[in-house]
Amino acid sequence: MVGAVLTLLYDEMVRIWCYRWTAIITGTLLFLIGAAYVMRMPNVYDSWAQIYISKQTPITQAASNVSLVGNEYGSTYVVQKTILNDQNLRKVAQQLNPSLNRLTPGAQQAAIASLRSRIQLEPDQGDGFVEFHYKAQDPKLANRTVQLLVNLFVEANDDRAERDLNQADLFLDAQLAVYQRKLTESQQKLAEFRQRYGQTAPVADSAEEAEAVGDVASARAALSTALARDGAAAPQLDQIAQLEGRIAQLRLQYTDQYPDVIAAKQQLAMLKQALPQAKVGESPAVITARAELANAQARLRKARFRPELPPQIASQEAELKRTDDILRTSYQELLSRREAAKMSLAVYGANNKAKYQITNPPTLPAFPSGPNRPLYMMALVFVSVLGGIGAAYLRGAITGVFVAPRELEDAFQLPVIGTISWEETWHTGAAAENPRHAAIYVAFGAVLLVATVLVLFSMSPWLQALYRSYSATLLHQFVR
Amino acid sequence: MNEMKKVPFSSRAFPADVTPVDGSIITSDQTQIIAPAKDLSDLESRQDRGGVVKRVGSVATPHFDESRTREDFRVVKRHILSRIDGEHGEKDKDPRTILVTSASPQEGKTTVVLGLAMSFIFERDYSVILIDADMRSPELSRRMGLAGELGLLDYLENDEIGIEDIVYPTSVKGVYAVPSGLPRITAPELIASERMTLLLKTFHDGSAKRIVIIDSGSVLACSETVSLAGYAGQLLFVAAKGQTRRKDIDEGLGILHRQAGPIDESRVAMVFNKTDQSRSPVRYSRNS
Repeated sequence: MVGAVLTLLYDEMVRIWCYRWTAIITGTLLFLIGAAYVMRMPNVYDSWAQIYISKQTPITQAASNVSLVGNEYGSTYVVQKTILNDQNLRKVAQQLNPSLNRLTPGAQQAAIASLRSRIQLEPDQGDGFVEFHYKAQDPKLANRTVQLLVNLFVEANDDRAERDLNQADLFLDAQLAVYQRKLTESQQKLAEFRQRYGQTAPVADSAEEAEAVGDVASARAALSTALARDGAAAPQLDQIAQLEGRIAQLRLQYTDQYPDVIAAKQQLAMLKQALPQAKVGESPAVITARAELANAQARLRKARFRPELPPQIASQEAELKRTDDILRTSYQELLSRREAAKMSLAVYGANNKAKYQITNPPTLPAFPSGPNRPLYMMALVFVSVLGGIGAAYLRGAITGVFVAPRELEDAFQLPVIGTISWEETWHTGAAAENPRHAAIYVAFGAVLLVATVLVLFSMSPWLQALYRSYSATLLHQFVR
Repeated sequence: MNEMKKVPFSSRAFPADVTPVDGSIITSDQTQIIAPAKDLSDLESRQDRGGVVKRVGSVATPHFDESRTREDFRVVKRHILSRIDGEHGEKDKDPRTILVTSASPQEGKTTVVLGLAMSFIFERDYSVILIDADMRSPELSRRMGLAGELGLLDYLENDEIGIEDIVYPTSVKGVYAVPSGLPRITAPELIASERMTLLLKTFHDGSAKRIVIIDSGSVLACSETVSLAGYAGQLLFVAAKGQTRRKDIDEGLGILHRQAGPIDESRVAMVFNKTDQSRSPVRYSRNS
């Protein structure tokens, strides 16, 4: 199987070899035409400018964390896309060609399209650098176009900055107003609730309670010091203070029905019973301390007073309080952000450098950037060789010559009784025998050679320059 | 150079440079009576009836002793002989008359003819007569050094010329040559004439082991080839590698088929010529 395929391939190669002259001539012609074209291609100059765009605009600062949209607002991509719209490009095209308006709409569109196709934006690496490239056959034109583009960019960006400032202000103010209204509403609701259930259910204030617990503890400590000073040691007082502290702690987490709380309360009651009652002849300090303690305990009792509310109302109350809390935090955050934004707005509006910076002004290229002639020439060689081979193959396929006895036999269903090989020596040498043929070959080769040299020479400015300088040197030497 | 005696039977003058090989002078009393061809016992004759010593054709192909080429021709020769022995072909067409032709010129007909002739040297029993019937370019005559000699067309036109006048011995024993003769406009008609049939008949009647190989012009270029094909019991169609076009072969075979009897395997065989190293092994034909 492989052998058969190889035989076929070999036969095709032989067939192509039969038309090697076709291949050579076609390839040479292709190469000459292609070389002429490549050499004729005009030089292209690439002018470019680079701009740094700060991604942080007032609007992004203002909207960060508050909303999810708007983070891409200042990205270079958006800047590029908004700047290179039809309107802006029309402006540039008009400046380049003042008579643009006199053209037909189609021609105008074509001019704008061609302008756009030649503008190249270097992909942003994510650092906020935008590079405008423009390629033209005239370096000055390229430079001018890039300059116009940069101008356009600056103009548009100034506009945008103005717009941004206003937008940011409006946005923040609107948001603040909304939050304020919501907050007022929520507080109103809360107040109404308290009015309705206020008498029967004063809202227990855990902060107040904690304070009262602290007061009781300190009053107890004061009493114990006073007693100690009097000489009547009362170690129970310390224990009572500890226990009460513990109970207060537990109650932050658990209800009164929690076993630990119950146990602690029982222990406390026992300790209080064992506590020595006020005696006559106590020092005034002890008496004061006792009074303080009693006061503090009364306050604590008051703070701890929590009437049982129906669960529905309790949950309603909790919800109202939660909403109020959230609204208040957001409002405060927004307020502080507005202050920050106002500050950065001041900076932003005052100094353009915060927005963008022209890091590289439009260049005036001295050397052409293209076309890539060596590459084209290499591709051309490749194409020429392929084209030549293709032409030979096509010719072989069309004329249908035979390269193997098998083909002959298959084609005519007649026996091929022998193959007769002709070695080189066996060859009668038709070309050599016929001097006219040889002369034709030689003449053709010479013409091709001369044509190649001429084409290369006339097409390549570089070669011409070389020739001029060389002939000038020769002339110089001759004159001397 | 000796001024030779003009021979009365010919209306035309011999080319001036015709020189007898041995340079002997022939006297007028050696002139024989002009008669139509009878037998060919005197094929070996070195003189024509005019008494002029005939030139000797040279049979040589360049580098023919190259063994592979010799082997190639041997294969073709075997095939031809097997057909003769097997009496292939139609009865009215003698298989001992072999026409070598091709579709277009320059495909190596003459080379094949000469190679076959050289191959027949080794056949002891057979003798070979090569006829150059390529009137456009009598390459065979040229190569054998018989260009301009009295030949086939002269014989066909002029009844006074005998067979022995146009058959030339060659440098190889057993191989004889008939040059084309002076070109004429009437060549196709002459070749189609009865005298041509007679000539071939005479050749074969002389001996059963005599083979006539006709080197003809290409089918598409020369109309007389078709007439010649009518005489031939075997047709060797030469096709050159990488040169002969399928279209031409088709056309040539078509012409032969229409005008010179059926073209089938029993009569026509192809020879693949001008191969480089004979890559393909020598193949014997299907029906040989």
